[in-house]
Amino acid sequence: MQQPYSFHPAGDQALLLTFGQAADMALDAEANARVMALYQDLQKQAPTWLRDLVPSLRALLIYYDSSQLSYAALCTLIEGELAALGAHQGDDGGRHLCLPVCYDDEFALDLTSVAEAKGLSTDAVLAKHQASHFKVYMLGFMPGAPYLGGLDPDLSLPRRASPRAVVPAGSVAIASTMGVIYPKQSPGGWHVLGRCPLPLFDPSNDAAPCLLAPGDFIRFQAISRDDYEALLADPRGYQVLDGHAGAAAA
Amino acid sequence: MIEIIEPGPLTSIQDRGRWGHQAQGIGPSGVMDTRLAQIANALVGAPLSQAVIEFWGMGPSLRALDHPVTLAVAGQAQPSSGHAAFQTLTLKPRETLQIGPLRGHAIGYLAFAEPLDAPVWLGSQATHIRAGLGGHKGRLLAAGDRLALRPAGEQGRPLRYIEPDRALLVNDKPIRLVAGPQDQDFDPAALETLVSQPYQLTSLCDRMGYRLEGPALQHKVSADIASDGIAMGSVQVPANGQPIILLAERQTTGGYTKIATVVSCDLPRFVQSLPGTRLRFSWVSVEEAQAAVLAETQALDRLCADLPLRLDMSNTSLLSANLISGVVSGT
Repeated sequence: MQQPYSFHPAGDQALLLTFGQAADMALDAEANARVMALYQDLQKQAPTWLRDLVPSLRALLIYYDSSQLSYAALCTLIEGELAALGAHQGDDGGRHLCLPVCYDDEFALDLTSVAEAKGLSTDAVLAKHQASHFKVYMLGFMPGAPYLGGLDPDLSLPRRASPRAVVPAGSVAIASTMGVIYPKQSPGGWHVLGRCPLPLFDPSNDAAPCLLAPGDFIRFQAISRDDYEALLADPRGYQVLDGHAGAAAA
Repeated sequence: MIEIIEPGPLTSIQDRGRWGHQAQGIGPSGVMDTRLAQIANALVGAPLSQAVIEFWGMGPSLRALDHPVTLAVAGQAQPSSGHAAFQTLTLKPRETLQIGPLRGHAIGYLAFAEPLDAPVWLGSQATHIRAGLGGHKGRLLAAGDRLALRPAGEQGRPLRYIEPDRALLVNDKPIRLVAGPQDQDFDPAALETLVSQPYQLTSLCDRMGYRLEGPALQHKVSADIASDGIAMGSVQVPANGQPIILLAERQTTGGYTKIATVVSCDLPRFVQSLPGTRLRFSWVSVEEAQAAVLAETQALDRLCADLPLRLDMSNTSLLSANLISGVVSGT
């Protein structure tokens, strides 16, 4: 059965479409799949009234040109799109990517404390992190920063009691039922397990400043410190598309 | 080419914003007061999408270098600084323009007849100051910065002016709000409080957002939601119940409840308010908001298309008329 959805005006120039119960904080793969299906559908159609789209965990913010269609007309139009998408849950628009992570002691700031909190060995934590099939539920917080759903529930734990003032750029971290990667150095309260050498945000790359896109599927692969340093110096040779995933898109 | 002599505290290159990239976490940024920026461009005969220099509180001082520069200042100057605002001006090479402090409102604009030659990144020249992106080297303008203007197409632009009262919307009518997107997460009394009590603008105002102070707005259960997109003018309320109105440099997404959104044609009046101002709000439906926006857009387009010509005086006669004394001077 499909979840209910609801329309909410976000002023006179944007509409927020929310799936499921707004008060429900639980992350919901189905809600996000429906967000992504509509996001990818509208992006493909690129209607003239569309100004911007912000997909998030369980909602899609649609910026529109109100001189071309009213709020009521947009709601009707989106209802039609949702009906047409129907049972089709989308999800085939996302790429399958494999990201390298160095879990070196120097980078894995919270590996020991996560292992202790979950009663696991550090090796088991890393194995579960690499076995998790993540999906980019949204990008936000800063340019290129992904919120990754799909963390192995065995690794779920609240944020750090005291956030760090400085989390280094590239840090790969977890909290609650999610994963994240910090594109730039910033404050942060997530548990850091390793570091990714690839630039997640590169403003000099006009065509694609962000490595990841909403709807992408991600898995992490451990690399050595030497490989990390080499990729940090020159990431261009790394094949980010996942050769092991059957559904890899171009 | 122009050179910035003194930049002022918060001066940056902006345009209508960088749209279409919020799904990647890249916010639109752009001018805070779209209305005043449009008027500034109209004064120099430029399209409304052309990049302008936005300044806060204190305007920059700048110098024309190699060529004459046709420009206009949209901002109410202090009487002591003379008055070059709200009209088309031409700086001769080596002449300087000192804009000085603004009076009675927060933000001013400087528009140029010839487009600023700053890099276009993802379709826009707007500076996102927090992210260090766009504009001139991704930052505020600084003393010594030189900005190129693309070559003049035509000489002798018509000189125009506008009365300050028509350019700046100053009145104490309530700022109109559309409820949502998370109004249902608030105690019903909060929706009544927001429009029946005044809220004072604090000094914590910048391009990201303005913080207000007033009776606390109570949530039903929690101030937190699963993060979602934030529209321009969103009235976000964290757990302390004090509203923050999110503006041009807002984050693309956030995890606090948003009780309402400011109607877009009331944003110019809101963002021009100074810290300490006691603001009143009122509710309108989204249909009423869209009708008001359409009417305002048409009225502004008519105003900009029909700016009166200034008397055809040379700068010399302007100086003698004491219109721009102390503002334009040769060096």
